[in-house]
Amino acid sequence: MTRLSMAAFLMCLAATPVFAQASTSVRAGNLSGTATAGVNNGPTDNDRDHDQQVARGPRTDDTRDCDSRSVTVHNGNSSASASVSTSPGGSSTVAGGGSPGSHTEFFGCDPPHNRSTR
Amino acid sequence: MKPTLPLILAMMLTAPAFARDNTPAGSATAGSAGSAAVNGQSASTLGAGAVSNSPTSSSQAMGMGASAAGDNARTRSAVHGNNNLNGNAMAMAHEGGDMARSHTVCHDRSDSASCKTKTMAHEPGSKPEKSISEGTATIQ
Repeated sequence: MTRLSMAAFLMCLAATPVFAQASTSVRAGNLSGTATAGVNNGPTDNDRDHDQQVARGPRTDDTRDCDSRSVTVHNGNSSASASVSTSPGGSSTVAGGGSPGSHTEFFGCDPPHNRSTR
Repeated sequence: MKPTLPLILAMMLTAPAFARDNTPAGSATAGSAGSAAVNGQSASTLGAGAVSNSPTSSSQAMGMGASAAGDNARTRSAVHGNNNLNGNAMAMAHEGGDMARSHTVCHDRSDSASCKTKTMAHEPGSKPEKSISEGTATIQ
């Protein structure tokens, strides 16, 4: 390779965008949410364990008396999750969605299947 | 000087980063959360949104949540849309004149993510206490 083409090759590599990962976490009382975009290989076992632990209660359509719920959305290089909990007798809901091809999982409140997918 | 094959290949590999339509490549995430409480009534909401664009694909994801505790507790969460996501989460609890309320709205666009949460707590005889939290990220 000539010196000029080598230099051009390096310039092309340098110009290639670096797709760094971006992540945001929010929390308010017993609620927490996380959004991640960029390099993402889908849910890990740790994510699933965490979601299982967060969503202890059964999942029902009745938003009352469900102590914990969570939702995770995975879509290519993007993911978002929300977890909520409330005291007994309280009300809680979660919702998730993504662009076409997304995978949404709900945790909690539907024994014996404590996870549902839409 | 004739360009060599590696040079051509390198230019072909990097070309998609510049050839994609007007959507910039990169990642953006945003979230917001809020909580209000007064005299045994509490309401909390949150939202988190993510957008990722690569030269060959684009993906968006959003999660919303709401919880409320008190005598009359109500919550609602929803995410609508396909390529431009809009999320809503509302929580409210009230008893008599005591009210706690929280509302989060999130938007995922092709090049940005944003969330905004407004809370309000009110008890009779006092002015409502309000707060706003907001998070916005744009792919540069």
